[in-house]
Amino acid sequence: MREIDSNAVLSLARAQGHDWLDEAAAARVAAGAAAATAAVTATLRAIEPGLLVADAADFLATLEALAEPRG
Amino acid sequence: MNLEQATLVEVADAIRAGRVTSREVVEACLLRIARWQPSINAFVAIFAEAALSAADRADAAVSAGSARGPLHGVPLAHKDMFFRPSRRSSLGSGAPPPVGAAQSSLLARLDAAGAIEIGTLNMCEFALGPTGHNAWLGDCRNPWHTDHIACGSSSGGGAAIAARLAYGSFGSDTGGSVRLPASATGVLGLKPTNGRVTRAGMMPLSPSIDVPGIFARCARDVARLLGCVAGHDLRDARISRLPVADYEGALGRGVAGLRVGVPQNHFLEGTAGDVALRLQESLSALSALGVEIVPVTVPAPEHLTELSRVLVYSEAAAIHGPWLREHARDYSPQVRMRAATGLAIPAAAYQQAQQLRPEILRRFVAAVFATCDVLHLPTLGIPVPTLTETNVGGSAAMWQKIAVLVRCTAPFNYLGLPALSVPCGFTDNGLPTSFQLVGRPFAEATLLRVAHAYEGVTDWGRRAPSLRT
Repeated sequence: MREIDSNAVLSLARAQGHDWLDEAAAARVAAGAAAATAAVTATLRAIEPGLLVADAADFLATLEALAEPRG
Repeated sequence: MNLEQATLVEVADAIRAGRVTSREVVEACLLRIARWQPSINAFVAIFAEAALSAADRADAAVSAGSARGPLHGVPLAHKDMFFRPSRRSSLGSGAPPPVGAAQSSLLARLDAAGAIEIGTLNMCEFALGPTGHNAWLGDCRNPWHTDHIACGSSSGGGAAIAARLAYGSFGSDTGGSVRLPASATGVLGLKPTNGRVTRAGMMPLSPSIDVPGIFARCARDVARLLGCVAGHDLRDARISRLPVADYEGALGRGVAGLRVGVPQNHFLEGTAGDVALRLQESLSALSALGVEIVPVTVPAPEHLTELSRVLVYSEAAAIHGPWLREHARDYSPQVRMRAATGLAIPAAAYQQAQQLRPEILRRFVAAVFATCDVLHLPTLGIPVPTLTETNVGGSAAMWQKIAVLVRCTAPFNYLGLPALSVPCGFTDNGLPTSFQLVGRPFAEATLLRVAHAYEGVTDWGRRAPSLRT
């Protein structure tokens, strides 16, 4: 899989109206976005969920369900 | 009463009992602020007249037998991003965008508890930076040595509490922004569980991750402050309805028999020798108190920081996008690049990072807290660096410098777990260092109990920096 590169960043940013980004800034943004996105891909591989059907809205309920027992 | 040495709880109890007046306490803080502010730049605004007037009202209420609450007459100061309709917060920006006139629920709860807001505190621009540099408001400096960073993004919180300029402070923690400055300045810093403390009326950076956090000088002070603000808020849909613990009451229960876990992977890698030595000494002190030290293997820690970044940058890009598009020059280079990173993160990756979060949390809790009650690890694995060493702006070194600073803090923002930074001595450069305790969801009382017991056999939290003139 190809990483997000500075050309892709410039295209995406300009498509969203961010004309201020130059090549150097786009390279920095690409490095950050590529590393972050790669972590998602690697985690998905490790968890092997098949279809990802979990509901993100369950996060607070999960915290509550795992809460330290009161005592 | 020595107002410089006294803790928040001691001062609050003394005001209520009439042993000291709120005016005396506020005046002492204002005097110290006047002396320290030129050196450390911890404050954005100082509300001297308003605070003295509030102190007089507090003293009159004590005389009339109608003290308001557990913080009656006590001066606090907070990161300049908790809103009041009567003022415009800087948000750490030189040209802050309009944010409406919401009232911070957290400030309202502190008001109801009787606290006095003595000023607002320096912070990194839009709470997006772990060092404490600020091109618009001036850098906040470390009161232990002003060549060194106070860390960030709640830079003024650690500096102000360490220098005894106020008795407690609230900041925000999205990647370590309370725990890092607390560690760098030798005070306690608590990131509560996501969902424990309201964010209504607080500047958002990443609503999925943001948590208000507490700076104070001892565990009892943190417990008092947390007890005043924790709990459900109809104005914040992501706040739990679980009952709030008696944090102060739990402090005295002791720690004998508790299991303290030491990670065997990831978190201690790259830890500097002098930091590692202080961590080991803290474990020895805890062991002498009767806790059991156990090794723990942490499941899949290597991606947690980046998973957190997927959420933070995507949400920051959504929040800042419209303003950034038209006002990019009003942002410093590092902040505008970090905010723009979310423009290039695919929407599917953002959604996947959200959907994975409950399952990763379940796996982490099952693997770690079956073995121990709290995790013990560094807050910052290196000695506090200088302003010069970390002044990387938007250069190519930016990501690596940030990664080193947040290595041990940001994972717990993604997991939403409570984490407490506790001072445990000094590194070879004379700057403070800390250990970090991490617990199960809503285990703040347990973390504070361990810190309180540790404070009973050490004196790190009682040490104060001296002003070098």
